[in-house]
Order: sequence, then structure tokens, then C-alpha cells
Amino acid sequence: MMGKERDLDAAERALGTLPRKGENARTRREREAWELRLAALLRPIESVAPPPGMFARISERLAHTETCQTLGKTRRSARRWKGIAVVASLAMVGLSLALLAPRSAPEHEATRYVAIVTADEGGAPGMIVQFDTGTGIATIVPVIPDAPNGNVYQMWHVPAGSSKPVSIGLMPDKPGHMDVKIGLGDLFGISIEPPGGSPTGQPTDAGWHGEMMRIE
Amino acid sequence: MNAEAEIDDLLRATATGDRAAFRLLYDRTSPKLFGIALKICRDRPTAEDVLQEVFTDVWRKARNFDPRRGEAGAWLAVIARNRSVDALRRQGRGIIGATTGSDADLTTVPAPSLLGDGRVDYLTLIDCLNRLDERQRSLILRAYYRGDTREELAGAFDTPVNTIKTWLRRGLTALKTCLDE
Repeated sequence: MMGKERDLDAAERALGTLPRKGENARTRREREAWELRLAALLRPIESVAPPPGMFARISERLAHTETCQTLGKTRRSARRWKGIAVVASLAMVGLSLALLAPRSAPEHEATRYVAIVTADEGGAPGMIVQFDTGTGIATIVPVIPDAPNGNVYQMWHVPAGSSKPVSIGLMPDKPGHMDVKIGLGDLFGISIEPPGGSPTGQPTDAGWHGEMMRIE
Repeated sequence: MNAEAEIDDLLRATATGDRAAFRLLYDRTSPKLFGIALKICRDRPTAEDVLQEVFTDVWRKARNFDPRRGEAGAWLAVIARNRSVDALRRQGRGIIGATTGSDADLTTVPAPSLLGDGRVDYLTLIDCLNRLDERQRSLILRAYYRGDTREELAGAFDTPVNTIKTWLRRGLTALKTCLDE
């Protein structure tokens, strides 16, 4: 039986007086149970016809998203990864453009990418991965509060073409370089794990995703 | 087939990638979800953005819907409510919104006559809310309809945050007890 305090935390996350960030699969379900309970409060709100053309705008938005996902193979890998939140991959298009760009010192020319890994709901960032093709160095910037209830955040990497997440360690307190080779089509994610990290060597929960953007 | 069962079917078809079902689902549910977004955001352009986010979510997350846990209509309404509150917070409206007092309709219990149907679970929730201490009820409704944080509630009630937390949790405990009866 669920503890009273835990149930009240779930209720407050449903209300929004506690943040949803940091939930695991179990606490998410507990919050959702409260959300469905409280949804009755939305019943008396009157319907209002949305403006014409709205569905077309939604379709465009979805088409754009799916194009991005296909480029990064994010969807396919995400499904294999049993739902772990995933960061979009480096886009091959971006790298090609970088190679074509006229620069005076090609050996130092660089394209920089940034992946902002955000919470599944609410959009708050959990970590930022920066990658510089010139130096080949990836840097992680954690922007996440301590994991709730003594848990830890664990970072994962899925090399392109692989379906198996590999742990790249627990979330650091400070920005640092990541000991991982990054390539086209790679994926990243964050999961919440018990102290010491995942006991199974695989992510047991995930609540963060994002997309890799080329910044220069 | 009744309306709720139809929405349920359309949502499940959407989960399989059926775009025609998604379109029909939009036609059936978007006025209600837009109404929710407008009521909470109180700004038409914001509500339009929210509606787009809601249906983007619905397309992506339809397979997460579990009919054993609740109705499709409620599942959709929750997405609209949460997205609306997220939008308000992104805009940082809390500081302004918490001090304006023209939204009494968002902090009082709707009269049962306003409920479109007489579903027992809805009437039960309203009945249980009405049994709460007025202060507790008001806190819960402000948080729910306006997305007020504990800090904003503390400001609105001129009360320390810890006291707000206590009142909120007492109210939620009483609500749960009443709903479980």
C-alpha cells in the first residue's frame, strides 16, 4: 500500500504545486491517477470552436517533427530503447555543410552541436551536451537539481546502429568532458536510478528527451 | 456508439498511426480542449499555441492511453490542462496573475447544473470539494485552474509557504478520504 505522504506528493504534482520533474515510472502513474480524479473539474468548462486552419498547423508541426526524427533515427532507436528518453542524433546534413563551408584553416574548422535534454513534461532541461567536431570533445553541462528521494541520475549513450544503451556514468555536479566517442546517429538519455546507478546495467526509467541542434 | 466510446476508439486508432482517426478525434474533441486552454490561459493566441501542443502530444503519446485507468475524454482534458498551466508558467504570468482578482469563476466549485451530464464520478468530486474547509477548497481550485504554485498561493493568502503546504495537503487528504468512501 502506498504511503500517505507519497500519495500526497503525487496529488501535489497533479495540481502543480510540486514539480513533475524527477518522476519515475511508478510515481508518474501515481500522479496520473490523481490527474484523472481531478479531471472532473474540467467537465463544466464550455467548448469553444478553435480557429479554422488549426488542424493544418498541427499537421505541419507533426510533419516537421517527424522529418527531424527520421534524420536522427531517433524514433526507431527510442522504441528499441524501451521508451528511454533520448536526445536526437547529430544530423548528417549539418556535418556535410560544415565540410563544404569555405574556411581558411580547414584542419581547425568546426561545427558545434548542442543537445538540450529536457523533461518529458514541462520542458525543463536536465542536461546539455555540447559537441565540437573540430576538437571531437563532448562536454556535458548538468542543469538538474538533485534526484528525489536519494536516487541518482544516470546518463546513457547508444552508438549509432546499436540498440543497447551503454552507461556513461552518473550525472556529474559540474560541467565536464564526457568519456565517450560521439558519432553520427548517436543517442543520449537520462534515467533516474537507485543510489549507485542501475542495478541491471540498463536504464530502468527515463523522463528526459531533447533534440540536437547545430549552433554554428 | 456513445460519444465517450467513440473518442476512446478514435484515440486507440490514433495510437496505431491512423491519421484519419486522428483528424476525426481532432474534430470531436478540439472545441472542448480549446475551451479548457482558453479558460486557463485567458489569452487566445496562447490558447491556440497550447492546442497545437496538445494535439502534437496526443499524436505522439496516444499509445500511452490506458482505458482501464480512465476515460479517453478525461485523458485528453488532462493534457490540455497541464499544457495550459505549463504555458502560463513559461510566460511568467504567475506574478501578475496571482494578484488580480477578476477570476472568481476559476476558484469556486462549478454548480452541478453546469455539468453537462450527471455522471456520478463528477458529482462525487464536486460534492467532496464542497465538504472541504473553504480555504482548502479555494487553494486546490486555484492551483488546479490557475496553476498557482505554493509560493503564489502564499502571496494570495498572505500566509507562509509552509502553512499553505499544510492546508493543501490536509485538503487533499480529506478529498481522497471522501472520494474513497
